[in-house]
Amino acid sequence: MRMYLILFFLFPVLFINCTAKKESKMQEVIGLQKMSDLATAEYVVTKIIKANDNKTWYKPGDRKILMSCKASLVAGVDLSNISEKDVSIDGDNIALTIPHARLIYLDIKPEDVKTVYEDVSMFRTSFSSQEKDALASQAEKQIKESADSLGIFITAEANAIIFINNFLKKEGFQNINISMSSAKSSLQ
Amino acid sequence: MRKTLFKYSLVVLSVLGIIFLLQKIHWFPSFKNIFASQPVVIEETPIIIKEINTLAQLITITYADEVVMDEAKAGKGIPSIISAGASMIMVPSSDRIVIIGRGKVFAGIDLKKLQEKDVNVNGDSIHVTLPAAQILNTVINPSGFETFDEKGDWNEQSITALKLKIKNEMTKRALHQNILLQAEARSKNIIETFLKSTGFKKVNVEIAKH
Repeated sequence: MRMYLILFFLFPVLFINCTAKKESKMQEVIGLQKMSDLATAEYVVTKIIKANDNKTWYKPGDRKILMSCKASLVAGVDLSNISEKDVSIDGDNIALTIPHARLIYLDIKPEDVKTVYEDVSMFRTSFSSQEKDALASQAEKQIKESADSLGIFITAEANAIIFINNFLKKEGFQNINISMSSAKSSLQ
Repeated sequence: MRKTLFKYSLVVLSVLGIIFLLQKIHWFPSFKNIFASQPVVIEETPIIIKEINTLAQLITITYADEVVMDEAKAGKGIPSIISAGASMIMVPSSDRIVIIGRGKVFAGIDLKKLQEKDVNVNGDSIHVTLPAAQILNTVINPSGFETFDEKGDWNEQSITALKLKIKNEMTKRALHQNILLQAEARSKNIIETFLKSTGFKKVNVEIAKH
């Protein structure tokens, strides 16, 4: 009787707030959009995705997973940011200021995410497709955040200068001076 | 009986009060997290650069879309019995997976294909023949895939194959939206503007035939 009374009072409390929170997803515009990006550098990187599912106290046993993933980062300059004030011409001489490079996209192909090792204890189910995607999404975020430290923007800017320089030479300019804009563009 | 009930109520309320106070000073985990499944967080591992490639792609149009695809196969589970009129039919169990893919198709021109003969300068006039537009990439990252339903046993190869089908379908839809024509028009416009800003009075930009 005593036990029932205690359970009667404790149960509502224990189940309060146990409902899962629904995550709100940002709405994205579907359809065609204009761009003006000159992609000049691609970095192909690899990363090992390592995770251990042993943090939930009421789940008996643990699950370990090791995945490998290959990603390609593409960076370049946004040509729409070049205005007339960024160009100065004097006969065969031209001075041009171009914007800083930014990450145009990160591409992780489905076939480049592979499960290398999986260890699931007896009382647990193996990682589902959704769970594997969630782990790969975390890796995606880490790769995106490390783009700057990989040096891709420096390479993209150097390549953009070389490309524009060659293009202007074809146009007939003799002395070409290309510099980077002082304003740092935001990452995508 | 009433006295006992009051006694136990008092004990339970006191315990709850103490727990509440301990939670406030973070000495006790909140009830919210006690039965919540802890997220699986990946470890910070190094990122290794395998290749560095030089590109010269003018990306002028991006097409964002979402595609839903499913796959079904005979499962190894217990068959179900359904009624069809007066008779009963045994239906084998089926495994099913439904994936939603959200991603982008990038289109534009590959300026690496631009050759010396494609640029002709004559005084203050210039004629440029740009290469034809192409689909430069279709990107659906892991964060863009959502497994809506997964029943039965699906191996990695089958899931990857379904994801690739989703990517191909997205590319097809982009082409159906005339992405290449729009990419060519926009590329022409961008190059014309750029050439005019470099001092040319007469600018003629055309696209090479496919």
